[in-house]
Amino acid sequence: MGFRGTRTQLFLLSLLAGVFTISYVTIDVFALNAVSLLQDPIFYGFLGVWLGLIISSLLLFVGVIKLPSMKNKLGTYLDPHYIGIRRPSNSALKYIFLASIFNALGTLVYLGACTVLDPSIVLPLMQFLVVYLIVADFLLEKETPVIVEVQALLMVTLGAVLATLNQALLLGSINQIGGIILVLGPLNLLTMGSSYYQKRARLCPSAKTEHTDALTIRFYTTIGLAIIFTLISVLIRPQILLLLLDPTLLVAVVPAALSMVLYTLYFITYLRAIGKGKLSIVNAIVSVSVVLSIPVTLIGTILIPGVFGDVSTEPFFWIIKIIGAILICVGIISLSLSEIRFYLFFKKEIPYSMDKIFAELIQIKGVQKVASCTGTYDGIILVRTRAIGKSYNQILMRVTKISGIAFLQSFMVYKDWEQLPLLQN
Amino acid sequence: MKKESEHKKTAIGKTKERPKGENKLINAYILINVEIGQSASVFDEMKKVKSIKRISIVTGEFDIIARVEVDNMMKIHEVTEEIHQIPGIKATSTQMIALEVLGEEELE
Repeated sequence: MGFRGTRTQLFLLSLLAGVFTISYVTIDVFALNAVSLLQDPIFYGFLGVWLGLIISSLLLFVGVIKLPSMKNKLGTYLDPHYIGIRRPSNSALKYIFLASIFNALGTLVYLGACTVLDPSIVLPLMQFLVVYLIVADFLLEKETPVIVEVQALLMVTLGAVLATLNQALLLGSINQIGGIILVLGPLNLLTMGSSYYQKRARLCPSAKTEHTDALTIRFYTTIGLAIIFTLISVLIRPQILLLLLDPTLLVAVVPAALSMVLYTLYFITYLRAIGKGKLSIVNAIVSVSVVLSIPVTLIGTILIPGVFGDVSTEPFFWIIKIIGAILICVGIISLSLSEIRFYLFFKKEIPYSMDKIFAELIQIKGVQKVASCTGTYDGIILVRTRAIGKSYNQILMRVTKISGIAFLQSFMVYKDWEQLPLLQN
Repeated sequence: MKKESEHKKTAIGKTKERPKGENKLINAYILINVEIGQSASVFDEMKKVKSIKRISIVTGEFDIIARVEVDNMMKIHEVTEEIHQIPGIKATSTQMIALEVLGEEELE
């Protein structure tokens, strides 16, 4: 398969992941506004988490299938670490449990917000996560942002304000403003917490491989999510269990199941996409697809008024919204393009142990790979960092401080090509 | 104290692990010097060499750094031979990888 083919596939898969994201958010908003039984977000969430559990267990079992024409099990194509159905290690389970708590609370906040906001507001606000991630980085690393990053963050922030606040402010809807604050603050922070713990779980070694695969983590997180969400919802509103006996339940299950299927499709396409290319590019393309939520909301509202709740069809709102969405996209693209890579070649002093040097090197943020070599140099480090400038100097400083490194030479990459791992056969 | 032992554990735990069914055992970095003005055409030609997994055009003493993954030593020789056939290449130096460890970021 040629490079062009791979690039097109990466682009299409990421775009598809974005389209699935829009689809499930749209269905959630539709269900919460238009299906009478589902107007209670807690009940909708309750149905959703259990249906989600069924779907993700199916996915885990389908992953075991190995067709005669295939080299590996189906699941391996989604995540190379997948080896079949297994129990994660205790440390991984601890992180999965924490991720589930964040996930359950996040689901609650998200559905609450979906009852008052339309997809063209929810999706751009969810992109605000990028801002939090970078700000967290600045705080943790005590790193001052470079001008490109400040510009990009400002663009994303102002874009989010333009894309979302105008309608709520002009309509003077307190509910919408409340919803916006919910998504902007708690939802993004909870999502950040959940993905942080999922990442920690992923780094945990398990019985046969050294990392836990994404399918297993998703399966166990959905179990945790279903249990925790049920506990929360029964505590808040015990009567939701009675709704299960409602004769119109079957009608209500359809949108909930559809939303979960679409979420799973998003998950699959996203995993496939990151298997084919850089994470930052995939995330950027997925985020950029938020623009599509604008025509979806507009067309939906024009065809069936009220389908997404209180949405204005005033052209003025939509022009401002489109400008906001474009600002968000440009901001996210420039953030992902400001990433740089460089190689550091080093020689070590004879008495020092390479293992100790390695252990210290991989602790440095940005270090991707460290190789011990035969030849002119003793080691080669591949580093990736967000932007050239202070972070580059900081990494160099930290490497030079490691005792045992005698000679260091850096090579800045200005053009890069990578053959992608899953396409080798 | 506890923190230190944890670090040690993760350092060992992160050694590069290969997906099942893949049998590539030998990795190397090939450092390349090219004739002036030839790096772009060499870069494009090198993409066609099957065992090359990553090509980076860099600033500094070398012009191109290529990463090669093969299943036996003989293939390393074949790859270097193949690279030497590309017009514009002045010199190469091969750094065989004895051990490789991945940083956390790589495993996202």
